[in-house]
Amino acid sequence: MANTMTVETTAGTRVFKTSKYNRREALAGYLFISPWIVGFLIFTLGAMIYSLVISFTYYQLATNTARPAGLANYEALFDDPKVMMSLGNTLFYAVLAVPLEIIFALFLAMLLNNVRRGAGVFRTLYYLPKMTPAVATASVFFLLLNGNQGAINKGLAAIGIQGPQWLLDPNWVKPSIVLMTLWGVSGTMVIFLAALKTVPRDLYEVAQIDGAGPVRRFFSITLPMISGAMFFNVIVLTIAALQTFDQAYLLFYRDTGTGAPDASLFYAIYLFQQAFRQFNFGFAAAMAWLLFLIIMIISLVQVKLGNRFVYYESER
Amino acid sequence: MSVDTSALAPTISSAGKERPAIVKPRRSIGSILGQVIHWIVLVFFAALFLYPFAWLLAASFKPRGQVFDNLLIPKTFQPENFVQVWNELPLLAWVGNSILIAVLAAGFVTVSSSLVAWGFAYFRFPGRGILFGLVLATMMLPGAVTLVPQYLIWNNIGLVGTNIPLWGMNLFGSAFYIFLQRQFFLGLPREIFEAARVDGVSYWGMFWRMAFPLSIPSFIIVFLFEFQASWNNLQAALIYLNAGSAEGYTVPLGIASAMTKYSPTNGGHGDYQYVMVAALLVTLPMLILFAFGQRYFIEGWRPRVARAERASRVASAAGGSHWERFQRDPPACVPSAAHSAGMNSLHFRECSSTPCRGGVSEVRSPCGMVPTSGSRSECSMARTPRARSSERTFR
Repeated sequence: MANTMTVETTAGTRVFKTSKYNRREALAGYLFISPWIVGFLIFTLGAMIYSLVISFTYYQLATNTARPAGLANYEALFDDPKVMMSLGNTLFYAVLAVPLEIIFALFLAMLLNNVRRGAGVFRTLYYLPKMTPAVATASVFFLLLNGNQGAINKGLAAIGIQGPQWLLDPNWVKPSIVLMTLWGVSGTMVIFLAALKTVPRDLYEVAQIDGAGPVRRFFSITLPMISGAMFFNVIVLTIAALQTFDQAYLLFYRDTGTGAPDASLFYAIYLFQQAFRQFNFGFAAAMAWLLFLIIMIISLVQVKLGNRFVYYESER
Repeated sequence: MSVDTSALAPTISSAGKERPAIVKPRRSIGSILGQVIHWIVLVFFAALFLYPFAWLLAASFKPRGQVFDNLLIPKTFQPENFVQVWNELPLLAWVGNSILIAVLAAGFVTVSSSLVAWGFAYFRFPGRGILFGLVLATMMLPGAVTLVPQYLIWNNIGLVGTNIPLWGMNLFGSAFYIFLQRQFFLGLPREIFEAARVDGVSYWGMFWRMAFPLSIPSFIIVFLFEFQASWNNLQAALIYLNAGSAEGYTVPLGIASAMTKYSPTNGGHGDYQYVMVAALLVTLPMLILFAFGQRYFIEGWRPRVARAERASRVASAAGGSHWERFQRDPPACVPSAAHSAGMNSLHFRECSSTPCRGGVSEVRSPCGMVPTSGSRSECSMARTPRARSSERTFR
């Protein structure tokens, strides 16, 4: 019914449209957004099309020629064991890192939210790691995580725990990176803190009068009220985890002379190696599209789940 | 009877206050003990977060043999480390490159993003909704997808090896900042621009003489965030600058190369104290930036008298009788934003919010943003029932 309405009034809407938009104003609007349009056409849309084209070719950087390859690059994705291995590593890391980051960030945020004096000072201190460049973090943790002499293992030894060879033992490579990520979790914490501040205090009061304990208050009030921020953090952290590059590169792949444990081969690292060390641009482009597909699927699943669980106050 | 009143009285008396505390009414020994434990946990985590900094600082002053003794006060002070690093590494060149790139990147993205944001915020034109949807969609695009083609584009232009690819794309605006700035511009009352229009101010004049000066705090936010992002950017430097001479490196790339240079696997002696000096050097500018811009990084920003004064100065500069109302009552309540929270693109909301100090009736503000803790009293938009009821959510 709505369709027939619009068809019938096509001529009418056209007249209406010209009167709705002031021509000078529209032109000025387009002029103001033109930088973004140009950038989008070249560096986003253009780049994506270019990438898609290249993924079906053998691209030669030296001669700037692209020999058609058909689906060969995509077939190679499944033939190359390192692609699947790096994908497995990356997914494993994401599954390990994201929940820990969420829990730790929320814990810290609630800790800060409940303190009445000095919250500002602590928030500043907690935020400092976020300001530290990845190179500095990696170079310090490279030494702190040293299996024999590092401060972390010496600290563990002091309480009677034999620390692992963090950066050498394949089983502990990913937990090492998780540890570094957790140290810089304050960006996520700040979002949770802001969300916690918007939870009306009277809800807690009423719940307390009704006899709800702290655990019940957390699950029935806090969690639903901050579910929007939770949803956002999960999506952003997942996308970031799937593209982890800096820490792994600095700890294991910076020095091409030494062999790195297979457990540290992340997808973004392997993509980088294929593109900018081996110059297999066609293969790297195919890898990028596979990652894109995976990220899209995961994000879609998260959005679908999120719609079920996220509570928006305005929808009540 | 008496038991009842003692339990209820504090609750009732605190009900009228703005922020009723939950714990206060029953200040038993248990709750005091709880506070103490709370503080101990807080201090414990603060120590955990600060330890790597202290370790870094201490190690940068130690001789080679003592780096791993994990003492936070070096047994032997060796400030010569700094001289040594200064002589061995082209630090000045790296810092110069990084500062140049960061300033260009941050400056360009601030200007271009705000132009685009102003286009989306004020003007009505066909396709505006779809185009803005595209802006938001590019925020979700993983960077890995465009990594290879962007390199090839720069390679075809012949600019790989220069630092232009590290800031060039910022000339075209960045989705996240466009979103942030647009939210800010929507917070400015539209009537003042309509009025200016009647007074014959051009579209450019509206941006340059009105919107721009009114939005300086949000420009500072964008500038600081992009400066930080650019300063920390390792991957782009690896891709575009790695093949060149060491003098052309940025600080992160330089430090990464220094880590390799001093590592024993590469013929070095394991002079990690030098790496620590370099790491200290790359961190310090960020800590200084944080010290000055802390409010912008964590709290967003709060309404200030200066802003109101600036608004009236702009108003008087633009002249015209339509300005008088605005001049008399500058909006003291402004939207707040925080970097990370600004990325709230997924559940952002808009609301026509609270009446603010100064009497401008309708100031639209982004509610999806982090409310400034400092501005709680003036601008508690999330808590005002009116604001809440008129909230719209779109995904």
